Order: sequence, then structure tokens, then C-alpha cells
Amino acid sequence: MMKVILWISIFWLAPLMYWMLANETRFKKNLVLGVTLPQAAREDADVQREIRGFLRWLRVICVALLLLVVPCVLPAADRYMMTLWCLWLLAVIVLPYVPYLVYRRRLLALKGRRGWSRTQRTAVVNTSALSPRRWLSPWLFLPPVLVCLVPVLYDREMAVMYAVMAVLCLLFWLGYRYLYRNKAEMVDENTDLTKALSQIRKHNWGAMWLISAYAMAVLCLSMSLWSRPGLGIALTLGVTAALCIAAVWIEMRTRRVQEKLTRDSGSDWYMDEDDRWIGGVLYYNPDDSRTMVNSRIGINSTVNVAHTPGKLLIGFTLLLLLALPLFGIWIDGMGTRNIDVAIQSDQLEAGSYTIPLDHIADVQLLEELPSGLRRVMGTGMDTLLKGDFSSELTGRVKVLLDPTVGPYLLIRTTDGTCYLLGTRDASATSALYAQLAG
Amino acid sequence: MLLTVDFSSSVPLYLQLRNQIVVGIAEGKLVPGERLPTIRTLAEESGINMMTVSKAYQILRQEGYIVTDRRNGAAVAAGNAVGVGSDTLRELRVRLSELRLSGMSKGDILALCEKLYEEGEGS
Repeated sequence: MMKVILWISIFWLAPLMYWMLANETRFKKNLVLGVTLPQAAREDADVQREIRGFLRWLRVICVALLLLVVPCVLPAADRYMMTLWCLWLLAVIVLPYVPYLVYRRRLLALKGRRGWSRTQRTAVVNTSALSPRRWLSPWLFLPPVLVCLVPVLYDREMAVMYAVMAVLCLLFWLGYRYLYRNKAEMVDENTDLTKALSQIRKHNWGAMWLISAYAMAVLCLSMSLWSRPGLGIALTLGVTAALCIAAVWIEMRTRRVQEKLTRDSGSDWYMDEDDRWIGGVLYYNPDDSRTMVNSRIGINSTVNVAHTPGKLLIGFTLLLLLALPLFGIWIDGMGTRNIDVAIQSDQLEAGSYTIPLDHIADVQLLEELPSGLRRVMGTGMDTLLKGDFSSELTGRVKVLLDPTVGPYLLIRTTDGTCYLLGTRDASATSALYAQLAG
Repeated sequence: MLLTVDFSSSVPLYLQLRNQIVVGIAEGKLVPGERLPTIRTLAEESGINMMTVSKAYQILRQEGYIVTDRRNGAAVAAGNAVGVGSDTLRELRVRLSELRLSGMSKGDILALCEKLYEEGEGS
């Protein structure tokens, strides 16, 4: 079940990456494949040839990535499930950018040969297009905060999680208010166009953060229903999918409008900042004192890697990406390594739990796991449950076991703490029970 | 009005801003009463430091080209009856000398001045 959920959660990234990058081949704000070109270049045969070449390679890579999912879900690959999952995730994020970088470079070379470059160490500001700042009321973000706190009334056990989600809704408002870069969307000398593009970006920026806050509230409610099998998971997956679709829809709608409005732009004077974008993706401009800047198209923000904070942020992101396969290997190891539960002198040791033998008030051997066992905090894999859980039989319980290998030891201590333990060897667990009960 | 800041120029950034705003007012691209971007906005837009923008605005205010208000920011001054200062006269003298040394006659220089003046009025 977990394997299916894991792959369902990411397989769609391959078609999404194709769609996102294929979208870069349509002229928006005088840009195609991250290269600024004049109006005259749009119908140029050589430009069109490079675009077709890029699309061909992008299609090959994304289809190959999608087909690669099939062997990964076969039972034979179960042992390496997380490693394969992480490797595939890394591949789907990185590989589609390879043809993008290659063909962008070719397009830049073509631009240089044709004399289309306008890059200078200048910044241009249209003073007439700078509208005063107006922000959405912070009160709009209050309902999702309150909705997140509602489950606290009937589920005190998970109160911390609901509070964290409420705080996240507040952070969404802070993100909306303070992460926005007020730079105008300037593509040429047309003041009305600059104003329109800037307003569209700002409007969609607000919509994105507001939708995120409300989706978080629904997610919070659905998570409070996780004890009802099926309903909670379905709601959570539904909300997550809806959030992803909304994010992509807003981004794409913004790009569509940018494309429509700038269709006739770039015939005479146009903004050309290509030399400030490494690979068309990373912004590098030592003359710009800002760390956060607008992405070139859409509504995203990015960082200026010419400054130390920008370098650190990008470095950290790259590190996280490169660490993905290691994370997968580590998780797979956790699911197969021995679970050590053993008596050492006068105490029972089980992972990080240490239970003095004279503190044990009661021991039971369970053939099956208690019904309704749900995770509060910790690890919940197909072959490893570890951390704080709760169930109707035990209430709050500390767990360390492989759910596929019974029986299990249910231990209650004199201070009322409950432990549910098991090893990956049924006879060893039974022998341990005999020792503890005897 | 488009303000262009050239980071590779030897002219200080604050002076580039000041000069372009003065030219903008003279050419009618910035009209009396027109609001100018706030210091913060202009700094964010151009990527240059707020102190640099502040310096340019301070000079413009001292010269009487703009008026500033703590609540409403900066705006082009209603009347631009700013007398020609000694700095401007000295600068003009240097430029005239340069033109004479380049071989231009008095007539050529006056014709050039007239052409530039009319361009400014026409834009």
C-alpha cells in the first residue's frame, strides 16, 4: 500500500516537467528557453529548429523517466524501494533540465551571431509604471488559522500538530506580505504593459498564498479524521492534489497572460538581462543589492547568487537534492536491519528505549497488532513502526517493531508507560516473552 | 519616464539618477506635481542601495527640482524656477571649451544648442 502511495505521489512529475519546460518554448516577455530575443527572431527558421530539437529531447527523457517507474514498482524492487524512489525523484528534477541548458546555450550562440544581444551593465526603471503598494487584508488569513485549531477541541493528543498547521497559515500571510519583490515586470518601454504585467503578478501571488492557507486548513481537518480508515487518507490526498493543481494552474495562467500581453513586444527596445541568468535559472547580478528577486516568468521568486545569503540558500538546496539517494539508502536500511530487543543485565533494551525489569508491571504476547494503531510521531513504514503511537487498546504507546512479523510484546510499566515491541524473528520474541513472564 | 542606471559608468550612481530626473523635468517627461517613486521602491527597482537613491533625492530637493513629504514621498516641484548655480556655470564653461577645442565654430555650437533645446521641448 505504502509503495503505491509513494509512487502515485511522484510519477506525475515526469509529465509535469515536460509540460512546464515545453511551455518555455512559447514566447513570454520576449523570452524563449530563457533567452531574450527580439520580435524579428520569433519566426526565424534557425530559432524554430533549436526549439524543435529541444522539444524532441525533452520528450524522450520524460517518456523514459515515466517508463522507468514500471520496474520500480515490481515486487523484486521492494528491498530498494526508497532508494529507487529518491533516485527517480532526483532524476525527474535534474534530467529534463539537461536539454534545456544545452539548447539555451545554442540559442544564445545564435543570438550572438545574429547581433540580437542588448546586454549592458545597466538597470532600467519606468518611474510612471510604479503603482503604490496595496495588500490583501491580513484578516483574510484568519479563518484558516481558526479552522486549523478546531480539531484541538476533539483530538487533544495531536494538538501540537494542529497548532503547527495554524502557525503555518500565519506564515503563509508573512510569506505573501514580505517575500514579494516589488520589482515591476518590465519588458519594454510600454508603461501600460509594465503596469498590467506587474498587477497580474501581484494578484496571482496573493491568490497563491491565500489558497495555500485555506488548503492547509482543509488538510488539517482531514488529518484529524485519520482514525476513520480511508476517509482521512482520501481527504489528505485530495487536498494535496488540489493544492498542486491550483499552484500549477495559477503559474500557467500567469504565463498565458504574459504570453498574450507580450505577443507584440520587443520590436524595438527590449530588456535583455540574459547575462545575469546562469543557465537561465540562477540569477547572478553583483550590481543588484537584493537577495530575493522575481523569477523571469510566472510568479515565482528566486535568489541572487551574487551575494552570500543567495549562495548559501542555493548551496543548501543542491545539498538536499544530492542527499536524496543517501536518504533513500538510509530508509531502506532501517526497514531491513535487525530490530534489537534484548535483556541486558537488569533492563530490557529496545532501540532507544530502556526499561528496568523491576519497573515492568505487566507483559502480554499479542499475535496481532492492536486495532486502530495510529502514528502520533515517528516512523510508519511497511516493515518498521517506530516512535509514539496510539490505539484503543493501549492508549498512547511507544512502539518498535516490524508489523509484518508477529508476535509482539505489550509491556506496561509501573509508571503507566506502555510499550509495544517486536523483533524480526518470531521465535526470539516468544523466547523474550517467556523470560519476562517467567 | 525611463531611468537608466549604468553600473559600468564612471559617473556616480546618485549623479546619474539626479541628472536623468533633471533632464526628464526639462523635457517634460516628468511634469510638475508628478509623484516620483519612493526611495525604497526606486532602490528595489534599480537594485541600487537606498542610501544612494536618498542622496540623489536630497540633492534634487536642495536644488528645488523636487519636493519631499514624509507621508507622500517625493514629487516634481510645481515651479522649476531654480537659478543657475555656480557649479552649473563652471560645468557649462568646461563643455564649451571642449566643443571649441574640437574645432566647432560659435555658429556650430549655437546651432547644436538650439537643436538639443528643441529636441527637449519636442519630447
